[in-house]
Amino acid sequence: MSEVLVTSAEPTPADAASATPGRTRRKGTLGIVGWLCVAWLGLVAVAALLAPFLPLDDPNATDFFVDNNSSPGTGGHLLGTDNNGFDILSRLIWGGRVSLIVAVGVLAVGMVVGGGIGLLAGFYRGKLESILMAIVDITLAFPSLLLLIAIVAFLGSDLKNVVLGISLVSIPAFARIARATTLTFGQREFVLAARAAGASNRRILVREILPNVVLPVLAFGLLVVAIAIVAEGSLAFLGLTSLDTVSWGGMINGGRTPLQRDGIAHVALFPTAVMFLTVLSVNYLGDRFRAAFDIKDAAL
Amino acid sequence: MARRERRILTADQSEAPLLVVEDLATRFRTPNGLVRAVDGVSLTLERGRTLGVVGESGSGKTVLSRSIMGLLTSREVEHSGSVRYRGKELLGAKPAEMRELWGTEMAMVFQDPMTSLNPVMKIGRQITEGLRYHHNLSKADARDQALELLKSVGIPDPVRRLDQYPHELSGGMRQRVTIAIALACGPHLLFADEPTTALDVTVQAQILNLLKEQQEERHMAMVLVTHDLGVVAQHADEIAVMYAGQIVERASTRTLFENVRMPYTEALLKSIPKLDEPSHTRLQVIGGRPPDLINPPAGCRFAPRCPYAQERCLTEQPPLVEAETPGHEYRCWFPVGTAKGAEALERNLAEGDAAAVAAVTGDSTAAERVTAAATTNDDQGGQA
Repeated sequence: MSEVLVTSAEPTPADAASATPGRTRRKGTLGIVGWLCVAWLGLVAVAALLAPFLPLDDPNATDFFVDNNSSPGTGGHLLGTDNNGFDILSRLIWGGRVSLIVAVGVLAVGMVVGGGIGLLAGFYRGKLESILMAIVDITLAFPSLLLLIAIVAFLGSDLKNVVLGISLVSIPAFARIARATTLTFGQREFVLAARAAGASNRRILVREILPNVVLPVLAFGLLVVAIAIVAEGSLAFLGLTSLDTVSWGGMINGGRTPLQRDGIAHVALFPTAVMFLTVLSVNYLGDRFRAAFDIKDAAL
Repeated sequence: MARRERRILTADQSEAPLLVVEDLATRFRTPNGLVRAVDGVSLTLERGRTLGVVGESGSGKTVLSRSIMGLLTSREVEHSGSVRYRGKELLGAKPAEMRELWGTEMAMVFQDPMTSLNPVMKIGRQITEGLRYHHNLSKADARDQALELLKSVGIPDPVRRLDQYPHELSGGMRQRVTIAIALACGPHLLFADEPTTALDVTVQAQILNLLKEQQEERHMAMVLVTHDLGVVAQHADEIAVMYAGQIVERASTRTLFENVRMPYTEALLKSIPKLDEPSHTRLQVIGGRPPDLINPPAGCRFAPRCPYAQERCLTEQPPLVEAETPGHEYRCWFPVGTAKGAEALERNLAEGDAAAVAAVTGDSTAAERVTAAATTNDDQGGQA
């Protein structure tokens, strides 16, 4: 308390210096780390999207001219080969497609279904809210990984079902965030002003509240994306997803044997590192965006 | 259908008053009990006239204006009485019917332009929204009208403003924008709910003048809600003073300022700082707080804080009675400026009544004693 008083009473050179980082933290500026995250995610996304056009080895073709688990650089394999003699770089890039699909799919389903539920519940309140939120709470009460495993076990383990399962598990979180945001914006005076100008409920919901709710929910959605990528990885690591699909989680799983048996680390290390960096970047950016919206709100 | 109805409404405009409110009551159901926020308010308003509604915070001014407009639609709100707009009963009207009136017939300017504009929508869109769905204008026509509106409310460089967001404008500019939005569809009745409270003092006068100007130009009726008697003195034709959900005095502006009858109004007038007083003069405050609206006092609601209060005031509620001047009504047993009132004040002074001492001498410790007494009364009321 007294420290605060001292610093505020007497502007020191340190204050002047700290003003600059304060400025860089403003909305729209990401800082060096932020830009590194963007660059990494951009690289992953572009590589994954362009995978069919890149001069890569077939991710599911064994190279018989080199050993399995050969070190990076041998026989033209930049990152080496794995336990089956598959090219690791190629598998990383093709595996990125899975993570990308999971990320986009979960974000889309979560925003639309979860966001929709939250928006309706937060705006109309009353009975509708009780019913919707009860459903959400019930879904939330299931252990999510168990639910995910059950879904994949029942519906089959192809990628579509994995995305569907993770989306289903993440819908409650989206719904709650959207509801909370809608509640705060629903009580703002501009909503009353719109009503007093003769706007119908639907118009108020779509024109006044939705545009305000989308951005905070999207910022939160980035954090969910990180969790979703990890969740898919976990399923793949447990061998619960289709073995035909190349995915980072599956690659880590595949790297277990060389690591335990032969002490060869790179087969598991590369996919782990890529996944770690990706999730970290998404998390960091998500946090940054959320902070940016907080500042924007405070400035209003 | 609704459009035709409106045309019929326009036909008989000058006949009856635009707005007639009779015995309007608004109650909120809360876990602690029923809050009587507005309790038996009656008023009439004609086109081209301004009614100032004055009172301290929590006296029910805002709830009154929102009740008349029908904006309080929560399930926790109960209404009774009657609100007739051009002869049409609004209480109990369907939401769809009200939507036909909102914006086109009656509109509202809110207190805080920081929160009454949508932060993520461009100014232009916010103005054209109403024009587009009420008047079915094309995008280009609506934009032209929005431009005209921005010009008429005195916004410099209006073309650029159309494509700006609210946060790019100053508070005064934003309030001009909300006025433009409220006026967009040509309403006949404008509610201005403390339109200048959130603004800089220098901007206040500009906004009030703008409202007056627009009102005269469009021949609108206006309800100007404020806690600032100075504001209504200049801008209202008639003033209703509210206390604890009731109108306690109503008169034309001139009569009210010259012939105060209700002690509450007198106290409000006394609490305005005056320029000709020496600096550091203590402001005369009204000791105590407004009563608990769940269990309002049995007698006059102002009695616990009133310098004139007698036994009768604590037990019997005074009705709204007509003064000598026609159209001047007040609620008091011992009105200011009468022999009865002077005698009551005399008696209280002799007895050393805290409220009376505070009112006459400006003694702040006496005012604090009133506050303390009112607080203990509240506590007892809560336990009972």
